[in-house]
Amino acid sequence: MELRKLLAERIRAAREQLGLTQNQLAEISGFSSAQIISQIEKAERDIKAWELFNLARALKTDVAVLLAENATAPMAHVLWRKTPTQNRRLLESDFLQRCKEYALVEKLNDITTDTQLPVTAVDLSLLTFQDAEKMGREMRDGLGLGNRPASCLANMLENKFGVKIWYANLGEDGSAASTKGPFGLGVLINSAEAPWRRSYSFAHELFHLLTWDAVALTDKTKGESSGHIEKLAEAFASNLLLPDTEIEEALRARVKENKIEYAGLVEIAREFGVSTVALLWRLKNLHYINSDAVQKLEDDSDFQQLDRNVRNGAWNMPPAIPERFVRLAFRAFQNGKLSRAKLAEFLKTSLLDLSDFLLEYGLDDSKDYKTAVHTGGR
Amino acid sequence: MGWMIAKITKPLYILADANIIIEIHRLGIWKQFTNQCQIATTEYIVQNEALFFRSNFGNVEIDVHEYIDNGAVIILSATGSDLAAIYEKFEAAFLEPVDNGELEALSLIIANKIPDALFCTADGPAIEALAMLGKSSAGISLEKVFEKTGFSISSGRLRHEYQEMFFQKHLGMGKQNFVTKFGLKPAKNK
Repeated sequence: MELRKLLAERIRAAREQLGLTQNQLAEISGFSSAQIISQIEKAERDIKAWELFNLARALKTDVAVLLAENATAPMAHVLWRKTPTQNRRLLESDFLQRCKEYALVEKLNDITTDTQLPVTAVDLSLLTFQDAEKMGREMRDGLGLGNRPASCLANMLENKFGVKIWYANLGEDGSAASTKGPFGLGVLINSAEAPWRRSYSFAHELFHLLTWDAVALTDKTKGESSGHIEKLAEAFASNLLLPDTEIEEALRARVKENKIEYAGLVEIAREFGVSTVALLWRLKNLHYINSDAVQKLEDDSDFQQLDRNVRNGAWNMPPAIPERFVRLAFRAFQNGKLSRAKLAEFLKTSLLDLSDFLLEYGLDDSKDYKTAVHTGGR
Repeated sequence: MGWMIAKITKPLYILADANIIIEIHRLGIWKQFTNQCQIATTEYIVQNEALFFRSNFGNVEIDVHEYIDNGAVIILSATGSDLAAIYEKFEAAFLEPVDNGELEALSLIIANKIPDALFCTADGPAIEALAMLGKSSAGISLEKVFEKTGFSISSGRLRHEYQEMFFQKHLGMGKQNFVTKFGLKPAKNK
């Protein structure tokens, strides 16, 4: 097919897939008017190289994909915990593009992400809550997450298993998402969430990653799994993050005359890096309290206020760009495998601010980090 | 393209890397430099990169348009077809880490639209691509450009990616790729 026509079709399809108008695309791409987009999509006008670069960036794709003779594989699916009501496609495309960039910087550092998560084949329709709880416990032990799993889960997933973790402000709309594609596994976490909710999201999304291949294509296309699967993910996350013996021990240390102070409950939740609500439901499942008590506490304003006050100091924002990604991209730059301009593009900063940005991550681009030490051949 | 290479008598250097333009400004020799040679850059750089550098007086903006207007800088613009040609020669995965400014310049080199120009870049994969096209002699490091234009900038003052050693290392890697065909698509039968 003639290049002009091929690009016209691909650009229109990609724009529509993202739900953008011609006006919006023109604005994001830095074009002076929507008429240019219209002409391009009608194959009435040749495209310059710089225009194609800008269009590809705005459409969250690669120039290579737009130019490919044969249509490339469809985008990977993204499974949402709660599908965003707005900009879903844009969020998904951005997330997938970032995962691809992450895989590229891994490749430039000769890191292969063939270290697999210990996935077990399951039939999700037959999986019971007890099965999911057991999976959670086994995964905690299998991954070596220890007694306080929330403190190291994200680190372990990212560094040991190459899960690409990104953050985006998803507001109230969607709390997290997961994906699997040629780039490996990816998780998108809501940066607007409290840190203890983020821990839970990691564990919840881990369940989706482990059972990805068992999820029906219809669910993947829809972008959301069934309510049953979501509840299984909750059971899995709860058991993974809150080991029963450890919880019992923490509880025992604080219970006096069969009572525990509100402050004690908040303390335990904080210690295990989960929300108080998650802890309460875990205690209910361990039969320490009943559903009514959980509900009562959830509705108790004094309890909520205390929780907020104690937690205020523990609030932290996740990094805008994952630290591991920054380190790998920087190392690729230092080894001459990535240009400075590309590094700035990947880190979403300007050339002017690049050095300062890197310093925030403890990296000094005026220094040579390639000096090596001999490890004795072991 | 709206410019005439035939009229150019000074050596023509393509600075497809915004960092190189910034570096020359940072060293405070831009004006003298433009007296010694003709500079070209790609339209992608002109359209996209807000060029700034840091001086003792704060951030200084480099107004590329001013230099274009006074003829110190020529803009090179590749077409979509030029760009498509580069993806016919290289595996898309190989080009992923190459910056867009460099991709535009490389596609012009493939299209033979700038036969007498020397491509100056600090982008390792772009230097490799140049060698894989069998065009090693069309590339030059910033250190070498300074040497040829009479500026004595010690390599110690230049970041490693602007040094001749960096350039030669990546040319070598590109030549090796050329031999092993790594990153290159099989030639199409005509």
